[in-house]
Amino acid sequence: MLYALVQGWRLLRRSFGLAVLLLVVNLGLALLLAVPLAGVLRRDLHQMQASQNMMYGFDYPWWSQWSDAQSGWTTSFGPEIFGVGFVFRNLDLLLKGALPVNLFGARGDAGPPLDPVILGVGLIYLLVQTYLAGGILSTLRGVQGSWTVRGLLHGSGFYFGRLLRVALVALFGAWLVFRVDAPLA
Amino acid sequence: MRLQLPIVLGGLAVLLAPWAAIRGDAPPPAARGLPPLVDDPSLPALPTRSPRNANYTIQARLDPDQHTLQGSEVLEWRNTSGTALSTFPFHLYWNAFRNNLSTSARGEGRRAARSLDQKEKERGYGYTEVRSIRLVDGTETDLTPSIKYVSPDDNNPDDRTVMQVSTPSPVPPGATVRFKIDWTSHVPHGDVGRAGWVHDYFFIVQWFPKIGVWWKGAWNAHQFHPWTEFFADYGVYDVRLTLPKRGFVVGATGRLQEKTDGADGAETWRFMQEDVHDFAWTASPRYREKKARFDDPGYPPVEIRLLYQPEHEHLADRYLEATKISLRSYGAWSAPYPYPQITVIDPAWSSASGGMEYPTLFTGGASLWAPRALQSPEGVTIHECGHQFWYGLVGNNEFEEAWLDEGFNSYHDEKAAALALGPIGWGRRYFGLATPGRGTRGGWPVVAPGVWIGRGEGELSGLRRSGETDVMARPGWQYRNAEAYGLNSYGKPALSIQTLENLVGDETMTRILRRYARRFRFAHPTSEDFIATVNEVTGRDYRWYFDQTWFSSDRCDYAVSVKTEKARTLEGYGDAGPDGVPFLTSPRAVPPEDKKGGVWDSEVTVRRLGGVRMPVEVMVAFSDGRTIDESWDGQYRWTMFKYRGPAKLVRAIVDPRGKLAIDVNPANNDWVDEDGWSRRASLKWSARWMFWLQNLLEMHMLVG
Ligand SMILES: [Zn+2]
Repeated sequence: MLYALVQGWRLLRRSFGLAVLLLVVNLGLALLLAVPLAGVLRRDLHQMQASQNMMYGFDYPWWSQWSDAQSGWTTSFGPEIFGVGFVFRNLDLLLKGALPVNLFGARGDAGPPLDPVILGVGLIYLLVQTYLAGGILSTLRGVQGSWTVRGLLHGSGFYFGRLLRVALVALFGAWLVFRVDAPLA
Repeated sequence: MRLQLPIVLGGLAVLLAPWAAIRGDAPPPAARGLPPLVDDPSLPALPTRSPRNANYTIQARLDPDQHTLQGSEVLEWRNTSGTALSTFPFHLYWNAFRNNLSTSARGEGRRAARSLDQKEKERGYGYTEVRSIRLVDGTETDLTPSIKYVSPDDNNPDDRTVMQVSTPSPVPPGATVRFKIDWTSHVPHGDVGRAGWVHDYFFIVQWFPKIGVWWKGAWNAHQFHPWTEFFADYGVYDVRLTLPKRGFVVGATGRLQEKTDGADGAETWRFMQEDVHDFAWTASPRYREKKARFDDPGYPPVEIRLLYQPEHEHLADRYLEATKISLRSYGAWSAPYPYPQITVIDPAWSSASGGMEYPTLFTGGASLWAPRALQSPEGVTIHECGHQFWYGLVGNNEFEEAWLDEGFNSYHDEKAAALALGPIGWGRRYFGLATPGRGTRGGWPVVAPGVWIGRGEGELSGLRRSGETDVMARPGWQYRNAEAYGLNSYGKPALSIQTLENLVGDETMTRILRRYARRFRFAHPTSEDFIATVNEVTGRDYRWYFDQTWFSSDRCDYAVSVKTEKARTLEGYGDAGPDGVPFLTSPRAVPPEDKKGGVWDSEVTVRRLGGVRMPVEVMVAFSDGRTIDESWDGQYRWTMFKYRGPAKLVRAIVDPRGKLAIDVNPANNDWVDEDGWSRRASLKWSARWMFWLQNLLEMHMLVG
């Protein structure tokens, strides 16, 4: 009984560490774009009264003009991601088949609903996640106590091919779903 | 495991969501106050009645199953042209939907006549076929053989939206003649054009043969284009509408005179209205009805009849309140609404009839979920009701000068909404239904916290995007595309009148519009009439202003930049010494305590980035609290103001009072000496954005 509890606790601690690792990957990728965005915003607000307005609230006329002048991934900065909006926007993108890489989304003249750079970061995340999942699987199945980065990477490499196939099957399933009925696409 | 992390992060997101709200979520307080309704003897007297030179007595029978309409009308028309006339043009608007060769069908834009439903293509088609037209004056003269179709705007031989007939002998000036017209119509499906049917909802507008307007010495009867609106003479309408007795609720222009049962299981609704230039009606068994009364002191009372969809029960009071806001504020800014009733229509889902004006009747438009911050249905209600005052009561030529109605109206609706409801929020709808041709409809609204759009601010993006596509003052069908029509009929004139209001002052602007609305009630005024009124009331010539805005495609953009630095001390060769050789002076290190004081040199450069030239005010502020007001005629490409003094320049603003509502980039008008604000603001917003991106990345796990 006690043994089972201890084992369970150990498993939890191990997977917690891995969850942190995934969070780090997530954060790292997001930072990859958030840092340049901060630079762009700072440059474009520099010595404008709008900078004060944007510090305490949101300056619609400034943003509207700024947004009209953007092309590429920075266009994604706007009021639709404020408040709870970010969850709605992302779920909407998901349901429209825009994730990943607009694989299932409509391909009209308007282009993808998200910039290719952001879709690309999404794809990288998907691949890293699939890769690490193998390591997670192997550490969970391993009999030894603690996990090591080496073991994780080994497991990742070991399982990657299989998990990639699983991921592809899942994507194919999603594609089928969108083919049959994509009410929001 | 693969799903756990997104769930954990999703949960975290929900927990953090309140944090993600922005400080200062409440909208800024709205301005208060309408000008008092005073009897001003200097204003022109209002005419008690219109010229009534085009009076219609109509009988129509609708077959809701076959989607057909049998009509018969007697048009009593008085020749006010001052000349004998023997040809007469009539609008047959529904022929825009007759086939794919009409001028409207060949056009672009969301209103271009077509069928959206590819499976049932024929449902989109409709027509008006005149069976006979006769001159009835004791004897009857059959004019039917003289019918021909004319296309004055584009010579399209396949367009049948204007029919012309000839009389054997000319109608002398001042004479009154009566045309008796019998016609059959097929009602188009109402998902593209405003007229049409959707399920058991019928919206019957621009539906009867209607004579053109003799104007500026010629017949004015334009074809139906994909985005243009209308023009007609005033008269008395007496209309009998017969429908099968199936619980139809009928709404129409004017007042319900009587409702009678026919022997054949049909019922007839009779509506009458004097001094209007069109007649619209609608019928649906699903309509619910709610009434209210507008009787603010000083205004003639108005009965408001709202016909709404049952699912919009919770929005009925908001429709009614917005109608009152419109009657109140437009009445104060122009001249009060004179008719005793107004009918508000909440259109059926999937009908394209929303957001349109007809005399004493208009359509709004609402979504099931309607957060107040988005001002829907209020915004559209104020706007469409507001048309009564311009389109309805002064009756400008909407084909040729759409801005005199839509532009004035947009200017006023934004002013009225800002005054009564405050700034509008920013929102987006998610998970709506994708419809062919009309984008996504419905959906759950999400309002961005802390984002408020002030009066006119929402129009600037369009002005930046397509302001240079066309000169504003152009006939409606001659704009390059639907977007240019929209900008030059709505946004640009609205912003230019808002700017004019800022230049002449609010009180003077009200005097201008009151005078214009009174003098030209029922009178088909033009832009020149308006400009003359501006000049008359202000006592100054504002032609230059209209040349810069209405008769131009140039953009207005003033910008300011600043250079402020410590005054220089000598470095290099100075005066000559006793030996006649100048001294070389080395730079002196300024002790740190001296840096704050000393003398500062500042340069403020104001640039005109666009073609529009306006006089501008400039305000500069120094670190010691001193401010200086400057002015510039704004003519050349740039000007510079130089200052030398004991304080650093900390702020410079061109157009500090924000008078130039048409300035396409107001953000570059305001320079501040800062370094920390932009850094902190960029950190705050990029962090917020990163939070969104992280969530987006997690979303990938749900499909992969
Ligand atoms: Zn309008």
